Amino acid sequence: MTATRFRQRKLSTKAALQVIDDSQIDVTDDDTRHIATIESGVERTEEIEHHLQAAISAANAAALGTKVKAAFIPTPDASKVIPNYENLYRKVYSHPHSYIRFSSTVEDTSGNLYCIDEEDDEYITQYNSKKSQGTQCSEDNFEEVISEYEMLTALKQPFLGLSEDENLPIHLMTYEEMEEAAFESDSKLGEKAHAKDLYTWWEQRRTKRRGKPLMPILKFEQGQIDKDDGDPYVCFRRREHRPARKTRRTDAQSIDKLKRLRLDMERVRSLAKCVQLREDNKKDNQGWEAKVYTFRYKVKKYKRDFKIDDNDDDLLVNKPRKRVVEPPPAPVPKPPVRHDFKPPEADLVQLEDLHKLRVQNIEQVVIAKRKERQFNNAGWNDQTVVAFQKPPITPPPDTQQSFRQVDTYFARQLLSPPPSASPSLSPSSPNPRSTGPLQPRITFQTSAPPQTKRKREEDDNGDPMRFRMRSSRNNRVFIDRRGKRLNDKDREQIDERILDRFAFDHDDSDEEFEGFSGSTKYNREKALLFSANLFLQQVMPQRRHDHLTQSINSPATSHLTPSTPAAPHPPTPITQATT
Amino acid sequence: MVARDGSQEPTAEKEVITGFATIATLAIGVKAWVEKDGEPRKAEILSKTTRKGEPVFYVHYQDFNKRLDEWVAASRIDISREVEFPVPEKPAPPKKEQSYPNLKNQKKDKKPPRDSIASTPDPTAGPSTPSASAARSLKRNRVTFEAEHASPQSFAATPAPDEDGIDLVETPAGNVVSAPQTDPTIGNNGEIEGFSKEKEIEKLRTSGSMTQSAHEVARVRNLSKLQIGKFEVETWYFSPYPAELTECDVVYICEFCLSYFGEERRYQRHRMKCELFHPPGNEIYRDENVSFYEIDGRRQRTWCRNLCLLSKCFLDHKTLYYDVDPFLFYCMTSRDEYGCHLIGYFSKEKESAENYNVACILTLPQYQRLGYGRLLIAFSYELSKREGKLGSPEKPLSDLGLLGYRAFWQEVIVDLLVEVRENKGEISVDEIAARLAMTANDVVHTLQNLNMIKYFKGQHVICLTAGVIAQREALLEKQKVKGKRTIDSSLLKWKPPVFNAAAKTWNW
Repeated sequence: MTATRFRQRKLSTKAALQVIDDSQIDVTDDDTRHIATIESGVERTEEIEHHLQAAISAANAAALGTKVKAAFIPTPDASKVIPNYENLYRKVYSHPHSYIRFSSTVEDTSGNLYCIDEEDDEYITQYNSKKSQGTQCSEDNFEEVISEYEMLTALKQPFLGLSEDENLPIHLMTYEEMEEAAFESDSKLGEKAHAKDLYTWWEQRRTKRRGKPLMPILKFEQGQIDKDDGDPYVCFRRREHRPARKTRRTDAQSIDKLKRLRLDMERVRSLAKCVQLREDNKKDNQGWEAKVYTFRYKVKKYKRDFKIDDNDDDLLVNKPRKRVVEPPPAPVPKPPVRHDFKPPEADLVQLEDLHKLRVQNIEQVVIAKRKERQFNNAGWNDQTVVAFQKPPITPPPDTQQSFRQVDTYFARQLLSPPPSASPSLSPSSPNPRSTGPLQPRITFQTSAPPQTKRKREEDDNGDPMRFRMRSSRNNRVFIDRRGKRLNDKDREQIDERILDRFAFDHDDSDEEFEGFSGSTKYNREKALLFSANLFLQQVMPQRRHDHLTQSINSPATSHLTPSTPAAPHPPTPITQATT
Repeated sequence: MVARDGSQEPTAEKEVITGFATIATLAIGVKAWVEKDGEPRKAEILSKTTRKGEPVFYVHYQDFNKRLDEWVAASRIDISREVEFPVPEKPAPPKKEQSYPNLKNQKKDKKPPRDSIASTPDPTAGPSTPSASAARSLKRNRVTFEAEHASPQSFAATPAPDEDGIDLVETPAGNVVSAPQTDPTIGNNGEIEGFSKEKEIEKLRTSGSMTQSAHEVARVRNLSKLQIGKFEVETWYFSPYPAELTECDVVYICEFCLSYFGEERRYQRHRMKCELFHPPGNEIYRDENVSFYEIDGRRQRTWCRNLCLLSKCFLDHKTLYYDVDPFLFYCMTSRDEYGCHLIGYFSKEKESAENYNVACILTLPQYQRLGYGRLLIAFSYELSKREGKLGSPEKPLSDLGLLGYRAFWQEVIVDLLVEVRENKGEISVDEIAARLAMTANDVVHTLQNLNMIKYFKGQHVICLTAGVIAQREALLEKQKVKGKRTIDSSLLKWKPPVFNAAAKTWNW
């Protein structure tokens, strides 16, 4: 033996091994001690058993090519064949052509589970000897009844006969109790022949067996773990319960399902009740009709007897009486009580909530949009606001500031504005900003009240009228109005169309209506703007005081908008005029 | 019990208390020389009772399988030789000489061991004895898998060898393997034993195994004969049929629904009503000889329980501790005009954590040695092939199971190797395993056992030895004459069943 012998590689299961014959190999060269021996898999203490060793040895010897007697392990006798097999088993089976698929259980296929024994045979013979031919108890009948008793007892008294105390009295159900139990469990015990007579026999046998079932049953665990564990006859224990992982969600789901199921069931029940009621009524109705018929028959008879000759209309035709049929109030299923004692609709989504949510969402969107716009406008001057103002050092903080209160007092003087007034505009100038100061101007006298005062006024419900003037491309001038709603009295007097017109009279209209350029709303709005334009171009330079003052003084135009002169005219012609 | 004897023998030698006994003082736990098949064998008395006024003893022969345990008359016990008394828990004080020939003849009932040594000088040793014997008898190794004798038919014709048989053949070293988990000292310690038992139950609970720890009562066979269909069969081991049935001479088993009856009259009545003609499941395989049925333990609880009770009569280590729900049962039947007669079955976990493809496997004794065991094993591997898994039977094996599996493995592996030798000439262990749906471990075990792995010219080779080839040829010859039982995979109509979580849980 050289040292290399002992340094052989491990046997790899992945390496391809050559398959060769004995003859190709030098047997003396063999040494496989390095391969770890694999356990046979037999319990060690049994592995040394005599017969097994003999058999293994024989097999090994055979594998080595030695001629030996093969050994086998002796087993107890199993060769005896019974003589009466034919009596017990019938030659009635034929295997179907296709593979069998079968799911009936032993219980399904065994008929009555109780089987008669010799004691029963004796009793039946004795019992039947007292009966006449037709009323005798058959074996099947007997088994049926006893099975029923056994089944009901197992159901109602599952722990009967488990007590090991010999002195404890056995309380079996009486026949009456048995009948009751049978009724509960839908069994037909009472209808079975001889049921009552066989009770005494069953009771007698069961008492003799100390309450145990008449047919021996397997011993199952009885909850006394220590005792059960040591008892080899206790078998087929339940496996450990592995609770499924529960989440609140699955809980809620199953509760919902159960609730729904419960409601469905209640509905079915009430439906069934209604059906029953209806059928009962029908039955009553039949009775009444029969009575009516007999009475009519009598009437007819009397008529004939007394020779009353009239037609039979009142007998043949049922005069429809107006019946007030009250449908039977369907039993209202009780609302299921929740486990947390909240009303059952607590989970439901309320319409109010939805509305609230909607309003909230809208507000949020508005705020977000506004913020976005402010962000985008940062560092820019809104020229549409301040175009014709002397550029302030800092732009007004809010567009609202460019609105100024205009009292009618000032409005009257509009046509003779003080020279200091601003803003100024020149309708003819293409670039009002650069050329503005040089052009002849129209000025509005506006009051620019201090900030604080304005604030307060805004808070008032009075909502004074305010105006803003803006100039735009093509020398358009806008006068925006704000505040002063119509009161109800005014509203009555104003023509509906005029009222309608003002609906669109609000600022930043040209941006907002971009999306609707094709719509009539848009057109109308545009018309208004143009009308204002027109007014300024036409009226202002010519100083038509009378017209304007007139319109201002009229109640319908007390809001003083630039469009008032155009108010009596439909907007479309004006649009045409400007285009 | 063999388990104890085997593990203790090396160390317990010095503790053995020997002495002479009379028939009357032969108590449970005592080991005496009993005549078996014409020769004396050492046997442990497991139970004692009286029949027709004569005492009879239930004995377990040392180094014989439990299935050969039997009731013997007093005349077969050689009381002229010394007997061994059970070792008390504490080291026994002085040596106990049992030489009281005129002790009162107590023939009634099982005699507690205490009686036999009550006259010893040390009174403390007496009471402790029963507990010691009880504790030791609890000693049981890990649960095992049990299989029936499935040795090839070539072995079947030869007579059983007598004791000399072992001398006829050379025993190559390295085949008997020690199980390292066996601790010989545990036997004497009740506490450790109890603990390991608990652990065992814990293991059963979680693993879904079908094996069982033995119990004092369970050591004694409780039924003597079963009548199954046409056959009358002696039982091998304890089975937890209702205890009342143990009083019956014969227990009658309905061949189709496997229901059990103590009285013949009841059995006859049942047979008139029973409408079952085959195992109550789906037929998944059929050839001209046999049909296989697949039965779900959860759906056919009664039938599967009945099957387990029956098979427990022939499987030592099978457990009926827990219910049958997590198992599928594959039942092999033969058909005739009476119905489908159950020949054997194997059970299989619905989901095996250790990739076992068989839990318990049994050919009913009346059908043994006809090649059916090989067929069952072949079928179990056929299923594994269909599943695309490598399978192995649940370990450890029983004696008959080991022989059956080894024979099967040898046959299929050698067949494959012969084919390889003619074609490619090379194959790896993993490839063999994959082709046969066996685990690589089982392949190596078989090759090693047959002495086929050699180291030659610096590398491992598989050597088809002359002996192996000769065995194969003999087998082929035999099959040519008698025909061979095989599984034709094209006749298997089966898809691996898929279970949802609910069907796999073990609760009811």
